[in-house]
Amino acid sequence: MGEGTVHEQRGAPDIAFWFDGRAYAGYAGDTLAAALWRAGIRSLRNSPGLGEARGMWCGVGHCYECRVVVDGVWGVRACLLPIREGLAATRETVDGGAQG
Amino acid sequence: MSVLRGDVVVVGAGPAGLGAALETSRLGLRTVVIDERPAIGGRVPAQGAGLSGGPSGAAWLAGVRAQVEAGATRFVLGRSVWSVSPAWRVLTAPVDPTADVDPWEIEARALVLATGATEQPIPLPGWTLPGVVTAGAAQTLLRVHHVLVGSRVALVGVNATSLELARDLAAAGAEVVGIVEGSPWPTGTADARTDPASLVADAGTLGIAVHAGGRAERVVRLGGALGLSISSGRADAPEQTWEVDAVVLCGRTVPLTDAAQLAGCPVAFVPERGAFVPLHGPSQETPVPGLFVAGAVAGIDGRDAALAQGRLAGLAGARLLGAAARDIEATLRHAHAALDEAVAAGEAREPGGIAVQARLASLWQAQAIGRAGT
Repeated sequence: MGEGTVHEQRGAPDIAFWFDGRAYAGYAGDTLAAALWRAGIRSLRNSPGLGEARGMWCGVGHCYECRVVVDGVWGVRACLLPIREGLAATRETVDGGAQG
Repeated sequence: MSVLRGDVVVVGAGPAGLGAALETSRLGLRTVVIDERPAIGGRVPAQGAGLSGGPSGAAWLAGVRAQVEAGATRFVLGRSVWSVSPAWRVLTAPVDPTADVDPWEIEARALVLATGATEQPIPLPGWTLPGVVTAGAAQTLLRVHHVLVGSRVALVGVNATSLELARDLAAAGAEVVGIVEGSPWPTGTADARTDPASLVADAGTLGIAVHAGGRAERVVRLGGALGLSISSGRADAPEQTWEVDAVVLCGRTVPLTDAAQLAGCPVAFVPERGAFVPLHGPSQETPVPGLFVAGAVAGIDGRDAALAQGRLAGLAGARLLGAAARDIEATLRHAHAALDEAVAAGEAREPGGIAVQARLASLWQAQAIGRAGT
């Protein structure tokens, strides 16, 4: 397969990060949303009103559906956030507190 | 917190922003380019080769990147712009809250807005379910991150974007269940111009099923999967449900004008584009002194045209700042010719761009006459 396909060979993902207290790994250049999508994680937060699962929608930073908590800061867009070694992100939750 | 002072600040590191920076840097102007993404190129790295072939976005960008990196442009990436005020002060915030915020304020004598376009959502109940995404998200996952949006995918919106994405998802190993229209009005292509019948014929050639006449009504949970309910448009035929693990909504795109409006630039509705576009003149100047717009935000389609338009904006900005070389008029003429060529090439692929440009020119003339009369 050519450029741009999922079959590109590049070894195992080697950047370790955390989401909601669980460890994952991704590649340099991954955004948090992409690395989690590859790992099968699409639900990134719970909506404030109904507690419904929400995840990446626009994928380009416009819609804020993919927002997560990083370093105590809410509203960080997972679709724009590059992963880095040791990054620890959590869900935005209904009760207003980040789960660890 | 520190202030970064330059001559020209460019918002957007896509083709138009890069084109502007190439010219202003070449002419010795201190140029700062800001973008929210961690890397340059805007949407280009997520773009494919197009239905009729050509270089992939990544291949196209490689050539431009080499030129940009040879210049002295300063890039401030991973940074959102949240305030723009005249003559010119741009305030930013990092996407990553743990990143260095300095310099958070950027000042320059000229501002080029190359903010691109945004997808217009297709309204559909269930759009908030994880696994329902826009075409832009699915393209980025596929071509930038090498991740399939799903193993069994439905696409909503019959247009060149959905056709190319369906083809490329299938080539990458996804099962594409089909493409179906998603709103009471045709979603068209980037600008709603392409004939739906010809698109359906193209889909047949590509081996992609288009559910002609059907309409996506809603997305529902089906156990751990998603269901896309489709009406037939006939009273005697029941709805059917496609069971998938991803639904890609492929809406048309419209210029992302927020920053231009914040900067005080008037926008006008362009019927041929079906969208509001910041008013601008033949060298990408706006009615606001020192403010230029270029690329998709200025209503143009395609990365080659955006790059050419960006170059034009950069040259016009340089002329305004008095930094341009003595042969600036000849250089500008050359840039205009390059832009016309790119627009003509786009017209051959998909008609309509020339009509948009003609409308924008007449809107500019009308406002210039209006301003002269006051």
